[in-house]
Amino acid sequence: MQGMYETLLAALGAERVVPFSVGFAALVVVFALFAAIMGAVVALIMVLAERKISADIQERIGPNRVGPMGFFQTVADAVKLLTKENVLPRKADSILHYCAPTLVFTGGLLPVAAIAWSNGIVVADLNIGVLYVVGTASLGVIGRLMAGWASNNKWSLLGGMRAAGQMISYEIPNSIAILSVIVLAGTLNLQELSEAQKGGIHQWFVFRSPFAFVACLICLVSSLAEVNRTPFDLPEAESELVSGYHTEYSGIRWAIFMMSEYIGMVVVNAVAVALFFGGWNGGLPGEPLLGGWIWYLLKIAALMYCQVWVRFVLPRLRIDQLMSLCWKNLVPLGFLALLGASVQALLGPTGQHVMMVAAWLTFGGFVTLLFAAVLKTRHVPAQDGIPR
Amino acid sequence: MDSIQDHIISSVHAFAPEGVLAATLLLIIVADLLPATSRPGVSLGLALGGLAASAAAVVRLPAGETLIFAGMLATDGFAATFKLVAAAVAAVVLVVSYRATDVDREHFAEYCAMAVALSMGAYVMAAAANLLSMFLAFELVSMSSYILTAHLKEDSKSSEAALKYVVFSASSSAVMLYGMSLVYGLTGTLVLQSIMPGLAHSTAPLAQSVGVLFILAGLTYKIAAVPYHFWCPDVYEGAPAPVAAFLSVGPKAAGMAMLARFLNEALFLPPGSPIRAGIDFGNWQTAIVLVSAVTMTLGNLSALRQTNVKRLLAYSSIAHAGYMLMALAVIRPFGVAAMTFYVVAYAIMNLGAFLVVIALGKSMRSEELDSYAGLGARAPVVAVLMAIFLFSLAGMPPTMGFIGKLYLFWAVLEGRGLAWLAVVAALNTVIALYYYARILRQMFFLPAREGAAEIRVEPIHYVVLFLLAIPTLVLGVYWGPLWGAISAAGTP
Amino acid sequence: MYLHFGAVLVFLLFSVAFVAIIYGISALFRPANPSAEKLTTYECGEIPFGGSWIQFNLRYYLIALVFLIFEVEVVFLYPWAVVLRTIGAFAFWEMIVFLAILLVGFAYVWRKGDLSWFTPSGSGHTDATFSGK
Repeated sequence: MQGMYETLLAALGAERVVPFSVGFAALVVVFALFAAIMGAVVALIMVLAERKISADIQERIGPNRVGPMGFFQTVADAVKLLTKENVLPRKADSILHYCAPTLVFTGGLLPVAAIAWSNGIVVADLNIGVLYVVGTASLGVIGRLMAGWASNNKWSLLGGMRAAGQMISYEIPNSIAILSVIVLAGTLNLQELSEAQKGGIHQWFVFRSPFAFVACLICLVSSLAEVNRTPFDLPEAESELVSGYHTEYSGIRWAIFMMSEYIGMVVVNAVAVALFFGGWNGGLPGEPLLGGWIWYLLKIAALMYCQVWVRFVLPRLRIDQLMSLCWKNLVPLGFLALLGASVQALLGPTGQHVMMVAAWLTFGGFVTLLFAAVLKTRHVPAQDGIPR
Repeated sequence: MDSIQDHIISSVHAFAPEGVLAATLLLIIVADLLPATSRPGVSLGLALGGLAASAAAVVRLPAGETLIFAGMLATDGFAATFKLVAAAVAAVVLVVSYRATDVDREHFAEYCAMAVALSMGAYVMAAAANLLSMFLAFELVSMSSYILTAHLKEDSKSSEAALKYVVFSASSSAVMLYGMSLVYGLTGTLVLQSIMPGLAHSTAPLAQSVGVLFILAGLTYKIAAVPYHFWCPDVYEGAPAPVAAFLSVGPKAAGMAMLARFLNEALFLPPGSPIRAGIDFGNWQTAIVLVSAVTMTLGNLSALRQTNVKRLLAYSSIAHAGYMLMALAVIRPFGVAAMTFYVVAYAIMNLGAFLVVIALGKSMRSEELDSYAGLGARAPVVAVLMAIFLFSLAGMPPTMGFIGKLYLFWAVLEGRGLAWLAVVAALNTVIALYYYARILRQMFFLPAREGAAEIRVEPIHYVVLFLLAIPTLVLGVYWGPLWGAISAAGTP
Repeated sequence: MYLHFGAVLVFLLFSVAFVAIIYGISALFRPANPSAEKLTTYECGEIPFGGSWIQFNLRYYLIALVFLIFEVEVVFLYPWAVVLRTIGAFAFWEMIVFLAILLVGFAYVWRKGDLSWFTPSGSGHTDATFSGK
């Protein structure tokens, strides 16, 4: 890993032209630009995907006018947002109103820097990687609160407060769940975390420890809340708060919020993949086929599909349910998982094998329970002749 | 790695008194959460047991100075003395509070827990040998004091007092922290003993003075010395009486200990030290002397016009802080011992005086001075006990207060060129006599008002009153062993 | 390693600049026809009443306090988690003590009902209190 920049600059022949620091900064800017553009692209794809998937779940067709099968619908949306008037309410605080999207976007983009996309591909190979990701991702809380405050609108303020309350609350179970893997891996570096899960699917932390499995569930639930998505979308609950903290945002500023939300989704899922699902490993012994980043992106896409799926299946929580789920269920459960994982970290090789078996049993039990629950759901017979 | 672990483990042994208190604190909270044990009696029992166990742990610790937790805390005889004082004070206050009117029995567990936390803070304050541990302990004491002050949630006076306390305390601890950061910046060390050499080599006299001055400001706030005394009367008046009693003794004693250690280890050097030449030792001594003189004078003069007994005792406690500071200005084994002895005496007599207010509060429902009229006839025993405590506070023989003052004056006269301070203190004693006599006059020479309530005192309050009055008198006559023990405990 | 923190700095500067540039591009294309009506605060078409700085449910404050305690704790846990395996059982027990102390506080908050949004005394049914004109 050491020397990715040196190698790249040497390959470009830039070291003879400019000093290393300049070349380095230029490279990082290129990466950052790439990340930002990819963020925009992901947002475009995700909006379309979300609409298509929801149409599929709700047995509709979805967007089908712009381009073949509606594929250019979101491009048209983006052009519209770019050319739409920016309305700044008279009573709003113009400086904070300007800064809030920037802060939210920064909170979305900064974590991307530390994510290890493949063996050797990482913009900033930080020794405190996970801590850095969790820390910078929470910049978004300030941005959302700022947006709510700056708009000088009751709905916005309420949305901002809810966003802050919810995001900080769910940061606790999320962090504790992450810690359960950290104790097993003994590193915060995302590159080393992936490295530690090399050698096949059985080496993924989620299948190596029952506690990591529990932690994984906690992490997935709380990361939904971290990115304010259904069933945790109270901050922008359209049926009560118009659209929450971005009620008074329009045009490009609103688009920045949306884009950050999708970048945020990518980030939380990337962290979950790096911690629990083997990072850039392919799941088979040996080097990943095709290159690690493809596996990484596939896994992220799978998790994002689940997030969209959840959005159109589950109803929104009430705020008291939201808080009690976090503080009374996830936090205690998270502590138990952390305790178990730290005991496991101190066990010898035999203990690790036992834990691996336990993890698979937990996984099997969980899947069985899930199916039992699905089967128990009462089937409602069609009454109007329309097949369901 | 192993050596660090060994050091931590051995430190934990020496940290046993504080550890016991921490465990007690948690135990009280847990017991309160379980329905079966959620009773005031259980909380009190646990708290007293914990305090006794920690006092036993203090006594059992091997004598001799050791630094624990990488120089964070010093466990020496001096600290042990103050820890015992803190434990005893907390125990007395808790026993008294159990039957006091202005303590909420529904939240007695929190009350006990906070009192234990305050004692733990006082323990650490007495032992803190590092700016960091000083600040932590300081804050622990402050936080638990706020909560205790606000104990009567529904009472607006209690809340007002707590809010005033928080605002004042927060600003003064911020000032202190700023001073610490300056000192750290100048010297690069947080360890008290290395501050003096560090300061000697620094070349920024202004920053140096400001830093030390700010730290002293925080410390004088804790002992309620002028000019950081304004919170004291308001807080004592608004707080529940047992809490006022606690605050007037517990944090003050701990603050004196911390100040003594800070002055002794960080500012004042033993005569003949090589580095002393480069440092303006005289200035800090002068500052302490001035603060001492102004504190006692202002405290006593303000007390003259008070009509509320709690406020009067508050101003008297400010004045007493001045007396104690007097001995610290001449920091040397004798001065420190005199200060320690006076702290013990002050703890006993001031608790006694406050306890009378608490005991009477139950039937009088007033803390105004004129409601004490005719007390000599209405409740002769209590009145006589109050007279003993007041005589002792005023420094009259044959009480413990007299002996304490004697040692203080002696210490001051030993310091060169400080005779004028002794004169100021003597004049102050005369002023103090006047307002203590005002209470006595109300009690013994004025008739009771029409319809004055019948006085009924809880038996447990009688017991504690006697337990405090006996040492006040006995140690006024036979103080040798106590003095011997305190001077043997040594300096910080 | 410092080099990589430098990358973080560049990322930070970039993302601030990026948003500004996007705003700038958008400003080239978009219309700007503000009118008094358009610039009023949006309240579902009604004429806005009162100020928007409403009094909040105190719960938000409590949640923030509890969060602060736990977040500080988690920050302490991160370095511990990294070195747990190198130090071994000693670190484990140390952290058990730390967690136990904290969990007593957690149990206290829970039992006193401060983790529930709705308290027995009836507060907490709304997010905020609106004061009219």
